Amino acid sequence: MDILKYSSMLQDNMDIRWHCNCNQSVSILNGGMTQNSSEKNQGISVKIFRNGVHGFASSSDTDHNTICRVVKAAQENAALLDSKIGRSITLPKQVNLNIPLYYEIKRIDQRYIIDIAKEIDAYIINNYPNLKSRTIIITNESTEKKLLTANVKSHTFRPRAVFHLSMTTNDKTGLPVTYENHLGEFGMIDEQFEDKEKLYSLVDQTYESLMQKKEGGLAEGGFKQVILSPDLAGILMHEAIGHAVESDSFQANSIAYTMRDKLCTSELITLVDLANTYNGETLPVPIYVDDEGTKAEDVTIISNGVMKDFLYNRKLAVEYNGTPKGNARASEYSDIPLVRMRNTLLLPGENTIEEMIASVDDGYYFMMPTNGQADLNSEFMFGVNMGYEIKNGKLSRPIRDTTISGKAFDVLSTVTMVGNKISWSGAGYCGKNQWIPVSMGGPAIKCMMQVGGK
Amino acid sequence: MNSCQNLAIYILKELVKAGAEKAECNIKHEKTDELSISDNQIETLSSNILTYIEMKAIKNNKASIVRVYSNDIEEINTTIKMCIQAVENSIVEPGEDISETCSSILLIIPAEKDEILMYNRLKNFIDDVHTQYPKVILSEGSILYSEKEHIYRNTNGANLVEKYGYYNVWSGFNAKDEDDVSSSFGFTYRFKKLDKPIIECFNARELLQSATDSIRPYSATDKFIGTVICTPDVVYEIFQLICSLLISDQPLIQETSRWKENLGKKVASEKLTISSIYSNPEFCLGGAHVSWSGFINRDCTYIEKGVLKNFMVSLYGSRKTGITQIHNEGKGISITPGSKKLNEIITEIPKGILLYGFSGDDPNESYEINGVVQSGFAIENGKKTYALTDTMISCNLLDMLNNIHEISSEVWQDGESSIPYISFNNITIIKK
Repeated sequence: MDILKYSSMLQDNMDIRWHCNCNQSVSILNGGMTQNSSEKNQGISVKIFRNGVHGFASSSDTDHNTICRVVKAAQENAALLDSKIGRSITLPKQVNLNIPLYYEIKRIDQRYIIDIAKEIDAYIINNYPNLKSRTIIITNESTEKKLLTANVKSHTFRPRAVFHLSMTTNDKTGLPVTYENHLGEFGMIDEQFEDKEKLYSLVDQTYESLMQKKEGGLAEGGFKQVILSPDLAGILMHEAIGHAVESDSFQANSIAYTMRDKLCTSELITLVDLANTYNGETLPVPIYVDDEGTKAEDVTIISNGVMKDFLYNRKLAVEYNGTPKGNARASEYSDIPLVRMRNTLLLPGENTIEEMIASVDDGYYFMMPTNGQADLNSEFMFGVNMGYEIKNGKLSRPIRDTTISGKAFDVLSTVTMVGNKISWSGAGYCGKNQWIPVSMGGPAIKCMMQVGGK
Repeated sequence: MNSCQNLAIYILKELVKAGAEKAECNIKHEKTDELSISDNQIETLSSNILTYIEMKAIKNNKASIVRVYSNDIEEINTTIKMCIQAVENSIVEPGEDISETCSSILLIIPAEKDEILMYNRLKNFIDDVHTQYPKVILSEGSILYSEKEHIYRNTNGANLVEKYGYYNVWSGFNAKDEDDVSSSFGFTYRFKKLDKPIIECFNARELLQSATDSIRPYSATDKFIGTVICTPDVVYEIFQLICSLLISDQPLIQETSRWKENLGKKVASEKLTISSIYSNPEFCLGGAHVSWSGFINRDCTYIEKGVLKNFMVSLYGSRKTGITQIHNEGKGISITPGSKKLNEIITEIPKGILLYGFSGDDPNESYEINGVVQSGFAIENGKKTYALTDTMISCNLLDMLNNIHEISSEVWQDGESSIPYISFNNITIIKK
């Protein structure tokens, strides 16, 4: 749809956004197809900021008359709230921005995704016939947005290909043991998953890990020395630090707000929220402009242990004396943009993983997270799918299904080694009232934390 | 016949014309107005309209589902083509089917929106909290009115319509005193009418007071085995675990459910009866009565005095496992209350926790639960004492259900469920 023809309706601090999320998904459970679906979620929204309040309206219909009605409804909502509770707040001036579409939009036939899922399932049956259960989920998703404000015109398209795999076997007592793995990458599924070897390799790794986990025992609970894999370090940063520095959490008394310019972690920690590129490579969730029309730039959250900056939208940047750098994103057309992370990265250090393991006399190497939560005081708890005991600098028996917890700032203050290789987890979603794609990356870290166990 | 009905008929006709042997169509049309809070203030008024169509086609025992947010006929025609193409490339799956013929049923629940009352209720709630609980900060929340119409039709002749309107109120908050901050609390309620102030609804006062009392928490003193009283929100999460791990499609199809052979057998304490009651007039379950799989949800008891009575399988799950489908999707959860008041139950506990919020990993295949107390209070020598932090809980889901100490006579009703407090014995509580 041509959003530019509504330019004449624009007024100050008005955003007109056309937003389309497409999702094609196929899942196979033990050879049976449990999902073969596609969805197109699209619509138009208008947001108007006036004297400290927002008027917002949206519709899934995008014909001309409906769009005019949506604009009018947003204006009426803004005027109504302003008349009751208007406050004097001036938003930061918007820079002129024109972001044309740079990625060719194409639609993938559902057959392509079904064929990949069938091939992977056949590979598993042929190579690992004794599994109790296997689930394959392959998703091709994309977000296309057109945004129009008084200063900004943008058209963006962001595809992502995601592969989830779950395998179950029985342990020696006959109880089921499950291991899950995933892969998520920026790009259309026919580009990212054309090389099936990448997917077969993930299948093999998953099976190998499952066989290790099957032999695993429980961790001994207590305060332990731990090496967290990049996946775990990444999710810790996202959940326990990242949410605390989203400025809309300051209203809920996030602990991070009081730490500005103070040493809050080990000096080995530098945490950034990246917009779209790192070392010349496009990131899993590249953002060039946010849903308020703010140009996306990198944010250094923690630099060598010192809290430096936070994540803002335009209004909160005024309230907390910051600079918005493109963190306001909406999940669907009917959502108002919230302050969100994008690609959160713990910068690499100097140690190899071998050096890190060799430095631990008695501790653990934890590898794959399941899920978890964190509070705004940075208290967190995550599940760990699998890991290994470390004894005298060597990996020992496998450990399965434990938990790690603590206060993230306290834990990060105990970091004494940071790995030199990063990896990205690009398949994830962040749920903060709205589910939105995010990525998190990092190297391994060595620290002290509470380990759950008997 | 309205336009959504006509559209559903058109879609089914076109799917059949394009080659579908069986087809079903769900159409939802929804209008929502919402006032939102941010930082103790009303900040946003939004109005949203959506049309959502989900169509399913079955051909040669293969199935596909396509969804679109639009009532534009060109978009719908494109979606129909995609649906047929996807079904032709799918895998044969004998479990797929559509619901049987059922009589045309029209459910209409009166819907009235009062925008001025919505604004006044929300504004008064903010003011009431400010004056009566001055240390509480309302960080987020909203009041919304939603009017929806849901239509289901299929090629077996099923024709179901549900029209409804309801109000939904939610809020997230914590409390602060100088540099000390409590953990987060919150509530979500559903109403047919806004006939009383929000602060007087259900358990709002208890939660606001609990936030205020949690500003300076302490850790548990050591590791011990004690009794944990779960508030109804936590009990509801336990029920969700029972569904996802034990009685729904996935664990039954994958044969990972430890209860698969336990229908009719004792699985929990005889004190426990869990039902799903769609017919309760106190509930506001608009939108849940007509299933998206083409049936009217019926009342059902899942556990009766500790005995497993039913599984919660879909039509697909039923065909894959042979378990009878009971046409219930688990809303309107009602747990039979006990005979003792909460305060009396607390007096019986030498050492334990009154648990308002729990943050834990999903249980593993052995049903072990580990997590932290997100919000709660210590119980010592029969009294509720200090707020807790840095405290972990460890237990086994199946053991918990068989170690129920008491169920309270008080219940929390939030418009969608009626759940009492439940205390569980033999829980490991650990200072972090």
